[in-house]
Amino acid sequence: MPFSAQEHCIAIGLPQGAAMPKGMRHRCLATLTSRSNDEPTRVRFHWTPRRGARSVVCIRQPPRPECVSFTARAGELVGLVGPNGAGKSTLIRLVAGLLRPAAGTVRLCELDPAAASRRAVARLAALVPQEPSAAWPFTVREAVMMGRAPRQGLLSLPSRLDQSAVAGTLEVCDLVHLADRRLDQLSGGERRRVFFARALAQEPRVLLLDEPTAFLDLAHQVAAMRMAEVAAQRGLCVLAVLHDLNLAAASCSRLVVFSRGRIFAEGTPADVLTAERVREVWGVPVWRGEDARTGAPFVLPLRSPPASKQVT
Amino acid sequence: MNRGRVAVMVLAGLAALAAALVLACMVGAQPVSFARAIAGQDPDRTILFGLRLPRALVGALVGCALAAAGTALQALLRNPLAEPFVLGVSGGAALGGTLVLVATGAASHLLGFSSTALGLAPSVATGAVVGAAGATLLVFALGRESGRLVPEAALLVGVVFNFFAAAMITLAKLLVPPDQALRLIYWLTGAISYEGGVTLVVGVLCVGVSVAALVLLSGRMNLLSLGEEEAASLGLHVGLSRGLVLLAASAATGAAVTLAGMVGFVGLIVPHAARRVLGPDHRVLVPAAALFGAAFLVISDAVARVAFLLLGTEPPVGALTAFIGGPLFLWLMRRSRRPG
Repeated sequence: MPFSAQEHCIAIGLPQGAAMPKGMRHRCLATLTSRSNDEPTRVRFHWTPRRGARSVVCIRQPPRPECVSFTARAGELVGLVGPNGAGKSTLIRLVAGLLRPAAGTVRLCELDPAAASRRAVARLAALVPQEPSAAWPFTVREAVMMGRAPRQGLLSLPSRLDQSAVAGTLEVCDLVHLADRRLDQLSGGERRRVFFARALAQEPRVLLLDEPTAFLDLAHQVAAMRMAEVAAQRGLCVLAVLHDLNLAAASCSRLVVFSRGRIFAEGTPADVLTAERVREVWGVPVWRGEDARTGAPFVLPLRSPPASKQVT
Repeated sequence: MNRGRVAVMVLAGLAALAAALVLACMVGAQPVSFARAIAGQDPDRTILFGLRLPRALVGALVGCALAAAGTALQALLRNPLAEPFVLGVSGGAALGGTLVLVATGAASHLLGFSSTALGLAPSVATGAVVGAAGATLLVFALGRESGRLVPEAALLVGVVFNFFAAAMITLAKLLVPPDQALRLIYWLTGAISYEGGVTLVVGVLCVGVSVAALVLLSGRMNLLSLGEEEAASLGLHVGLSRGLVLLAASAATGAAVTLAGMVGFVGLIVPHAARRVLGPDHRVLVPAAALFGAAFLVISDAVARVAFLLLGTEPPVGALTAFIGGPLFLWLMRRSRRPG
């Protein structure tokens, strides 16, 4: 294995020449290429969705064996970007153990998340879903307390430790004044903060964010990314699926570009986000600039050629 | 969860149940004196301890089981409209119980001894529990679209299964002797009758075990009510937990149907009222629904007994609960469609 478990929070990979199990159908296939390793390991990923998560749409492209490897370390904020259906959400569901890889290995702090007990996985990795459910009007405090469930007994009776963890999380996420409000009385941004707080209350080592900025206004988008940055600074390994390239470039320490089920590029935002690459992956011509203060790149979609022809 | 609040709620529920039992023993066609009944004088003693108290206890068991099962099914389906009767779980239980009755009737006919009574309570209860579990599995298996549970689809499957079960029961009625068919009809209308002895003991065991299981599973219901993926990411083994909750809810419904036939909407009315007062935490909600559901059905049955006293008849308690529950179901359905 090319990964040392002490160093990496998440390690995905397969030894060279590993064969796909016989009779396995190519239901989905994702291939990730690492450029940071000296020797790229040739790995194939086929995964069949696990029970209870069967609806997760996987990659629909015809299967193509490619190189795969992806690792993330503690203290990193990794942005997963790419067009819809490229495999970003599939990756974080693999890490959360919600999908089982049909071939290949996934390691979450030395643990196989699809085979380990759900409780053990939930103590290591917390997932903030894209559109959190609120079927019943729980209060904010009750919802955040549910993050303690993997550390509680059968009836989830809160211990003093749970109480103090929830109180601390509410403070960090600026939810103290909303603690006794019901979820259905909150705005979209506030509700998102509640589910972020629930994930923090899990005290995970890996935080998985599925589009943390979707459906939020600019201020809440910035606040959501700020919270992700703070989590990474505190030593968590944060993986965030993002669609806003500029927001991702400004916040993330590393970007991973997915395209058609493969990792297309990987590296610092400044290296990864070039005009050619964006056009190649998203099919959109862009103008690339750089934030003079931070050096973070940003891209602006260009007008389509016919419109510019009319002007000249 | 506030432990003091839970204690207050449990005490209030027990008080309500005790008050309901006393009230149900007091009212009826014949005025009785508690003092004379306790002193052992007939007819007061027979009316109170032989008729009214056992019937009230059956009502309490049925209400307790149905309300707890309704709360559990609502958590699983993430929808306040889920209810054993509407989802076809009661229908499955009735079908299972009927098939056992018909089979034992045929067997006794062949073997040459007569068994017209519904006295084979344990075997009927087993059939009802198996039928309820089968119906629940059917609803939760067919109520899915691309792997995700769709509450509306599941409800529709339940309603259709109810029709199917009713048709099968109608067929079964034609196959049994007329006297047994009459008993079947009366059993399934949702009437609480004057039971005693074996039936009561079997009922207490079934309801006690299944409702206790639901109370123990109530912490998991909170997570299950968030949806499969979120529950799994919070450390829950979704398949196992859901299976256990389904089994316990089916057993509770099967026991209730064995005791009183198809009493509808108790699992809708009681959890709805309890949720309004106590909030959505199932660890509070399930025991509250069990206790107040028991009190609710005891009082409903007492009302059903005396409401039409002047006409000299009494409607089955299922008619009364449907009278309240039907409109409530429609109101809840309208309200859940409204955005925000």
